Amino acid sequence: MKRKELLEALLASEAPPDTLLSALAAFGWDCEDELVRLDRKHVVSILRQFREGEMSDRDVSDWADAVEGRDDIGFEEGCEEILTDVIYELANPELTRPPSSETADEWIFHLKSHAAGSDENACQEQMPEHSDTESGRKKRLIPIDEELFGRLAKISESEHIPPEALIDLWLKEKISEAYQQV
Amino acid sequence: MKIRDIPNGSKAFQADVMARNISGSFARYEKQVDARGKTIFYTKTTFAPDGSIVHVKSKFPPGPAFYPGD
Repeated sequence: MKRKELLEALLASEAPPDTLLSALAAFGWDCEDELVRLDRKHVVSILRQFREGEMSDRDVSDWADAVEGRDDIGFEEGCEEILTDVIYELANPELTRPPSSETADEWIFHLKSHAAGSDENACQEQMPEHSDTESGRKKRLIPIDEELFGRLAKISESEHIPPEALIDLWLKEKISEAYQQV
Repeated sequence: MKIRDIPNGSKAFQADVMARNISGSFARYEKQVDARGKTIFYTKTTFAPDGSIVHVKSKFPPGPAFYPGD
């Protein structure tokens, strides 16, 4: 098989990564051009196979690790950032989070809803960042209408739950529902 | 990115990527390039917060992952 065919087989997970990587090694590592392109559909397919139990978490990690950092594989135009992120997470579960049905659904949702060249980043930049020193995670500050917040505060008080925790809880429920619909 | 000289005129290029979930843990990507500019080794080493190695994966040439203690 030619190098491009082997890479296409790797992206489509048509054979175990170690078999394909051994064959690809004959061509050396370096490559002047990106011979194939990783698209969102490749990753969605892998995540779906994992969610359906056709691939183990180790299989997913091995596949992502095989794809990660190769000079001969390019990324779908306009989706480089999200594809870099998902491949890094899947290839490095010890450094990110282990894959689960929930994380697979989450990524599928993001990948499918990410329009190539979208101004998602511009949208995020409009929401100021806030570093949570306790958890070390960044948060986004989103303005809430004063009247809406007043109604929220009443429920928060009656439920004895801080407004931030209540919003967090409701958002998670809504996002989870959205994933299920996807 | 760190660059260091290694024997025979080769160079090693290192880049560290911090973990998202565990403070102090990180992955070190190291590519070793010979004097002619050809990649001869490419590894990814995952470090625990205490600096110990969790595992080493050889991207090129491909090989089984190395887990210290196994």
